[in-house]
Amino acid sequence: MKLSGGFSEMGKQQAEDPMPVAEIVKRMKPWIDVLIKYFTPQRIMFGSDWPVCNVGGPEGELSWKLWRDAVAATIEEYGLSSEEEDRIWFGTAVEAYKLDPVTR
Amino acid sequence: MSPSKKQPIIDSHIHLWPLSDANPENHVWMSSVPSFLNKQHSVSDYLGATSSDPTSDVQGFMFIEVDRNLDASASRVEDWAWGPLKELRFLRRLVECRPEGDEGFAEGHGGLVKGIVAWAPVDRGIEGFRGFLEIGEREAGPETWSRVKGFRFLLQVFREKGEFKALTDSKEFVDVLRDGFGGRWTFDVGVDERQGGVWQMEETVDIVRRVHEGLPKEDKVVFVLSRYLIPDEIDESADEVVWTIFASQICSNIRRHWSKRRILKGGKPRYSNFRVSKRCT
Repeated sequence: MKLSGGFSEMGKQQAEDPMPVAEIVKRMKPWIDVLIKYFTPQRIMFGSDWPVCNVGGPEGELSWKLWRDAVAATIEEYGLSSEEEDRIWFGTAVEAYKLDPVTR
Repeated sequence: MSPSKKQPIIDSHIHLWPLSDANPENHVWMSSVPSFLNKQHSVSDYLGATSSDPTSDVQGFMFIEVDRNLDASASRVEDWAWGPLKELRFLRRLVECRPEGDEGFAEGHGGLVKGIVAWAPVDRGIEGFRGFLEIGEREAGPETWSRVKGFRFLLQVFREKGEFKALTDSKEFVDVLRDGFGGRWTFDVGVDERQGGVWQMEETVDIVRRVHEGLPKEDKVVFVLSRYLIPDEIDESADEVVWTIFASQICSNIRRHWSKRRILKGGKPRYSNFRVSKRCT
């Protein structure tokens, strides 16, 4: 399951007035609760949906960073281990798509 | 994570296209989106969006096909699948660093393409699927083709349930995913609950079940679900119950009979009716 594209479902944001991260977290949490419970971090991968994220998110290339921050703040709510967080940021994608491992 | 340590990231879902293809003649959906999308969106633009983040170490991305135009009336693969093949040639130029003019990438950028989820027909039977792959591999060249990890097909284009099921219930469709994909390719499912309807999610559960039925783990297609599987509005909870049950069903690969109306009338989620027998496998 990709954790991506949330901005397409939250109403239009303006570049000069992006949605605060805390507000995005609040809106996403009920859905992410379900993902974490059923899919678990072992089956969730981060994705930005760039550049389509700029359509629903704030324009002018702020959206990638905002989505990244929002996902980080959301998953922080679950007290995951760093290994579990790594699954979301790269590990699940590496396994599902059979990619070369990341470098540290 | 300490603030000084950057989080390694593989961005599992991005799209790219060169200026020459940033128009409805190549992507019909570009006729109905904000005009700022109708310009070049290439690796240098992506790096512009990501590199300003001091907390991230974006090591690469998955390129996801961009829903390019087809010509259904043509008969040769090169003609009816001209758009997806053109996309593969663009990716080849990126991977091999051979831009045609300014295409927004430079030496070293090809390495960021960790994988490609290309387009492929799942609606033309196994011969149609394999016929496209043969030409696609030729157009992509060995290095770029080796980065193709799977395929996406937007089933959401079938807005009518009957039309959708005519494809997904067919033996030909299941054969493509079971035998054509085998255990080699992933399948990024494109369904859209918001614009298509909740039934598209139900049908997805059914597709996964039928494609996986009786196969050993190594031969099962990895289904990748994406953003479309979220309810009407992320801040409204009316469909939460349905979505919860959907998530649990897809995890357990078990289809149970239920009606949206009956569940919603019940008010609270009734997990007991939809026990999850095991986690995703």
